[in-house]
Amino acid sequence: MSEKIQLTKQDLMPVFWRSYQALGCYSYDKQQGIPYLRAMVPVLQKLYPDQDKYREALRRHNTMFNTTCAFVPFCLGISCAMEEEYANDETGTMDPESIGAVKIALMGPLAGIGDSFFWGTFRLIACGVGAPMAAEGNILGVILYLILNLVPSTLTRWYGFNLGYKGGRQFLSRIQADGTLAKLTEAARVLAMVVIGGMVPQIVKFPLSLKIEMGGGTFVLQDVVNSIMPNLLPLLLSITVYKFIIKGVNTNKIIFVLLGLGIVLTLLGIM
Amino acid sequence: MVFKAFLVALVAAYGRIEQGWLGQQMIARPIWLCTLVGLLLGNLQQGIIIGGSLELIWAGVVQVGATPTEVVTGSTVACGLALLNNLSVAEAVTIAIPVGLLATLIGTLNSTITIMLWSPMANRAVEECDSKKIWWLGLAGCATQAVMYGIAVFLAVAAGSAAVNAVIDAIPDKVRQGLANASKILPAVGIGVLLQFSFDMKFVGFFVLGFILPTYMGFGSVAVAIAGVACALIYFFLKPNPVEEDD
Repeated sequence: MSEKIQLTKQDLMPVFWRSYQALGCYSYDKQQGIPYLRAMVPVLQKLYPDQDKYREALRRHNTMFNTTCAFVPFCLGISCAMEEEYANDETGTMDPESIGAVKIALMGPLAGIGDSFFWGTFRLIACGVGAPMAAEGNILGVILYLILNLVPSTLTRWYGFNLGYKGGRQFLSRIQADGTLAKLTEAARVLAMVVIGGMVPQIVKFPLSLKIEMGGGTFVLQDVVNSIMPNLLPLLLSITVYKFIIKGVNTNKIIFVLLGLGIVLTLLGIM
Repeated sequence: MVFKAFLVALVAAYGRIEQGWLGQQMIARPIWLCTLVGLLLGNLQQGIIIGGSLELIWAGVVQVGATPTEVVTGSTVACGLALLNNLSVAEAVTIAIPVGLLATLIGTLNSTITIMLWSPMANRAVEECDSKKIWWLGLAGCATQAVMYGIAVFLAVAAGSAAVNAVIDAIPDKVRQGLANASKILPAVGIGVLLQFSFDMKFVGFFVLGFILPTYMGFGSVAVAIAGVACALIYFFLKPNPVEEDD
């Protein structure tokens, strides 16, 4: 009976560090596949001293893979645990195909959650908090932007990797089955909606300069609009842009239309 | 000028490396890159202002799937040119937009190199069990990308200054003022794209709430974010878990 090969912290740490290079060689065919393979190498080398088995393991991970970067360590942790299980499987009951199958099954849902959390929530909050401050020249805005992005990302990477290695699959299917995951994603969306709503009056400005002298007094367009509702025009403009975007109008086109609109309204003396 | 253009190019290359080698932690964005450009060119304050302004316009431009605009190049070139030629924030924004569009071409070129060269090489390295080759192949795509973007940004900043001055001087004052006004309404595009990601009619009340807080109650951006966290917590803890058969 051969000796069991156990992965130690020294074997796993290089995998964790290599997870940072997940976009180090992004290709159309394998997306993050080559960097994922690269990250697995230290563990595979340890688990498969036999060259043929090592090659087989490399082949297993030389496939297409793609998910949100912050969740790559979680997937790597799971792959490490499964490879360790397979390398020590003497009864031959474990199908090595399952290692790749789990990766493929995880990457889609994780990308969905990850993109809505990291692109859609944390980055958005960081932007909503930091960018208006920075636009006024306050360096605190930049610092807050960095902290609000780096802290959640770093924690997710580190705890995700450990959790993935120590039974992450079971954990994920449990919170998926009892609805916690769906609720968490929706709660993130609630947060995003409040922040976006708050960004409208803070970042979109629609100053009107039109004034007309009339018999008794001056007609000031901005005052009229404000008396209906402050920030009415930024709100209407944002909603209009959103309507065009969901109709499939290219955002670059919209940018150029707004540039033109700004120039025309200024030439007409309205803005 | 040549040395300063080189410094700007370094920031652009760093932006690529942040995404490729440092985990894409969402900081290769105008707000951070323009701050770095400002720092290196000796005008930190203006760099921060341009970065914050570009971040607001490009808030919705994210690196998911095919990107319509390349924010790393757009923001570094625009910020570099603006600081070297004393341009206004509005003028910097006007430069950033076409540059960001053009730069997506470099990305396409790099993807072609990766699929023609690195990807087949990785297949061979696997068959040969060449762990060392896999090590550097996993970094290669980002390396070529950083070099290509760096060169493009260097050329744009070094050669662009003269051209930019001529073009900006030729624009009539009234139109320049129009551009400045346009840069105030442009962040609506960022809002629109963000809504596209998050909007759901059943959550519209939260959007309205977010709008009301600064408009009528004077909340700042940090206070709005905290109110948002409160809403998310209320939602999470008060919503019952669905019955398991529901899915």
